[in-house]
Amino acid sequence: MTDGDIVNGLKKGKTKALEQLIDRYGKYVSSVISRILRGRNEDCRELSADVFLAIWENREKLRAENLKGYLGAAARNKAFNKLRNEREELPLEEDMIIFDDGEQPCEAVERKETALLVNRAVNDLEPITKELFLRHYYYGQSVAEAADALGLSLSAAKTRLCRGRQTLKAILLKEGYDYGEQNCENK
Amino acid sequence: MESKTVKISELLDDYTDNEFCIEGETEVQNEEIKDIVLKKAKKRSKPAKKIIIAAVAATAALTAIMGAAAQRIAFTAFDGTELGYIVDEDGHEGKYIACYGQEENQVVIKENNRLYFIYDGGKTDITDLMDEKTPYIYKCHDQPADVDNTENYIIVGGTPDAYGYTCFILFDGDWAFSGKSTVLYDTHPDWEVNGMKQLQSEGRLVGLDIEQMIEF
Repeated sequence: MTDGDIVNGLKKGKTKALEQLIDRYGKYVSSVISRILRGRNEDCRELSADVFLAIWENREKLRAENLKGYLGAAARNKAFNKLRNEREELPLEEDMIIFDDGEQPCEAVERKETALLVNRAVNDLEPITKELFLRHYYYGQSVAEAADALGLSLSAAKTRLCRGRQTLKAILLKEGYDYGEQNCENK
Repeated sequence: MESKTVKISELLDDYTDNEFCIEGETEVQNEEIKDIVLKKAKKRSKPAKKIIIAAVAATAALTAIMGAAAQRIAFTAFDGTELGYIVDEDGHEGKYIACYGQEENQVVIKENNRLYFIYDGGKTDITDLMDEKTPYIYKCHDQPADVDNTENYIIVGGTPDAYGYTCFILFDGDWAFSGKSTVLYDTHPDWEVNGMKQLQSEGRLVGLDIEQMIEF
C-alpha cells in the first residue's frame, strides 16, 4: 500500500483509507505535536485528531507527493496555534531571511521543487547548527532551551543561529529558491 | 531598495523531519486518534447512497461490474452518477449504477454558512429556500419522460448544519437514486419525502413507490 493508494482511497471517501493513514503517520504527527507542546498528552491527542480530521475534510485537494511533509506541516501549525492562543507569540529569534532586490536566484539554475530544496538546504547545515535550527524554528523551543539541550551557551547558540540563517539563505539562492513565488512580505 | 522577507518557521513547513522527531516518544496511541477521528468523520460526511430500486438489483449490478465482459454508459446524471448496460462473463445482460462521479460533481456546497446549489457552472444561494422540511427541487428535464426516456431530478434540503441531496433518475423504465448528506439519516429526512410528494403531485416520479422507498 503506497501513499498514492491511501490518497486515492481518501478521495473516494473510504474511512478505511483514513485508518490506514493514521496507522502509517499517526505516531509521526503526534510526536511532532508532542515535541512542540512538550508532552501534554491530552492536547496532543486532540490536536493529532484535528490534523487527520482536517485531511479528511479536505481530501479532494490532497496530493500523494510529500504526504509526510504535508502532515508534519499541518501538525506544526496546529501545535503553534495552540501555543499562540496561550501565550500570544512564539519567541522565535530573527524568524526571517531577507532577500534584497539584487539577490535573485541564479537564472541558470534549474528551479527545484520547494520541499526538495528546503530539505536539502537544511540538511546541508553543519550538524549541530541544524539541530539547533530545527529545535528552535521547527519545534519552537526557546533559544535558551535549545542551547541547554545541546550544551551551548546562549551567546554561542545565537551566533550559530545567525550563521545558520546566512548559510541557509546562501544555499537557497545557490540552489534556485524562487522566493518571488513564495509567501513573502514586501519591506 | 525593495526587499522580500521569508519567515524561516514558515519556510520549514516544507521540511520533513526524519531525524529529531522520535516516533513513539508520546504516549498517544494511533487507536486513540482513530477513535476520535472516525467518530467525527462519520458524523460529518455520509457515504453516497448507492442504491437502485425497482427492477434493477444493486448487488447484482455491482457484481456484474466486477466481472463485466462489456459495459456501456447510457446516461450520466446531474451529480455524476453513471447508469448503463453491462454484459457479464456468462453473457447475461443487465443494468448498472455507479456513483463514483460524485466527488467531482459537487451539487451543494457550503460557504460562509450559506448553501449553494451548483449546476452548469451556475451557483445559486438556496439557504433561505429550504429547511428541514422544505425541499429545494431542481428539474434537470423540463418534461417528464424526455426524448431519451430519462428523467433526472434533484431534491436538496436541510440547513447549513445538516444538509444533503437526493438525485432521482428514471432510466429505462426504472427509478434509481443516489445522493449525499453531511449527517447520517436513520430514516429519509422530511425534506426528501416532501420533495418526492411534490414532484408526484406534478405528474413526475411516476411509478415510484414512496412508501416502499421510505421502508427500504
